[in-house]
Amino acid sequence: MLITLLIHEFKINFRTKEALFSMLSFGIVLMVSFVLSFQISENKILFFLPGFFWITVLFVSVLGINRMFSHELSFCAITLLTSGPVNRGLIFFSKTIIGTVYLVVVEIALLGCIWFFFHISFFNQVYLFFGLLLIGNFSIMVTSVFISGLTLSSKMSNVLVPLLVFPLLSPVIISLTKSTLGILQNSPFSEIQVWVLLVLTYFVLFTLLGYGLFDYLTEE
Amino acid sequence: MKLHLGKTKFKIMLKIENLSKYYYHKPVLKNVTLKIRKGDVVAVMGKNGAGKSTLLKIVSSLVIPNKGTLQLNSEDITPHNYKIRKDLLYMGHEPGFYSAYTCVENLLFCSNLYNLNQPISVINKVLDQAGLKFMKNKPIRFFSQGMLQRLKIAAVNLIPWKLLLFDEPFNGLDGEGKQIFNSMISNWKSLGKTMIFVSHKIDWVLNTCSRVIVLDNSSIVIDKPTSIELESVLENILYKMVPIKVLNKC
Repeated sequence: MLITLLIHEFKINFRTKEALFSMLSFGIVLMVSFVLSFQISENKILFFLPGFFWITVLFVSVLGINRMFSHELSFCAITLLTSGPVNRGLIFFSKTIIGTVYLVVVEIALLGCIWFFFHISFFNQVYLFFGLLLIGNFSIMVTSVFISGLTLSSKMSNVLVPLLVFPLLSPVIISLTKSTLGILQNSPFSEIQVWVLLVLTYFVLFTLLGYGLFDYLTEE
Repeated sequence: MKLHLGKTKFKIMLKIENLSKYYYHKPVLKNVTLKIRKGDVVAVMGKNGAGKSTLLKIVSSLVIPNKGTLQLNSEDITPHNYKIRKDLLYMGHEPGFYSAYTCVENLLFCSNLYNLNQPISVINKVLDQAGLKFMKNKPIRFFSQGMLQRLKIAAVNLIPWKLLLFDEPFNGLDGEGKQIFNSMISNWKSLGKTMIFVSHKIDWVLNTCSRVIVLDNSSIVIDKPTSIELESVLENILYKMVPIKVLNKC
């Protein structure tokens, strides 16, 4: 069933091209705006870049999550999913996975921008960096999808999602920024371990919460 | 579970006990108890806001009740028990399909959700039967209310449900659409299928359904087999807004 839901998510998102294109264009515009607005000397840019990067990812994820649920809200198509013989936790997972894939696409474009403007590569510790990207994206997405489900029946969900997601995800963003800085500075894993564990805790907590409570979150 | 009425045995399909639902502390349904037998064609009637649609949504697990239990074929209906929903098919007020998809894509997805994986030929057949032959490859965002209703009829014809819950099935349907749906209902009745409709059309209910349930003030006030004598009672309740207490005194 998860595969059916994933195929459906990819199909409907590619059909409308709403989520991916808005995320991609917003992400690139935001990153370029950051780069052009702040005149930071080359020796200090390393300390600012991880923050720029993850803040951009956070903004992009909130934009994407609003677009991703728009298909279910239009024509009330959510009833087709929730009244069918589908484990609603799988709906949560399918949204999370598609959101994470979209974030990866946006991040590849953002890394390209960073390389273009600053000639800084994140590939010093490539496995560690991609591992961090993956758990970072999943943590951001599980939290965003959970909050989005929570506000689904509200008429103000577009406003409520960022209002709830930004403060809730701030520990994750701080941890991801610290870990990314550590990777850029070639620090050993033991130095960033605590931050990575914090991100992992968020991931586990919101995955369990989302899977267990999505039945109740999607109630009309 | 069998209910004995004289010598005949009826299998209870849906059992609802002490069901209550409150919205902002205001009761929409209050201690509703109901048994629907296999093969019943039930019409749920009542004034606007009586709780008809909420009752159907609770049965299909879209709304969680504050109190009470529901069982389908002796198995509890809860949001977690998703497997039981393969026997239920709910069609609500809203279109309930993906606006970016065509008719064929919506029905294919429907079929996949119910683990049927029907071939495209079957999808085309049910769309033809619902009168959507020439619209099947058009995105449904351009559809009128009547055409969306026909798509619901096609979906009902596609999924092998045991209990159908249909909220106002004739909304926006033209004469031909009504005829198509009525002939399908006759067919399902002959197969002994169980259906629950929410409707305001008294003559259709009296001609088609085997049982009428009237909701008023969050409770069931009438639960009777359909008969011609019910017509004036229903007219008084639904059109002339005569309170049920006054009718009881008469």
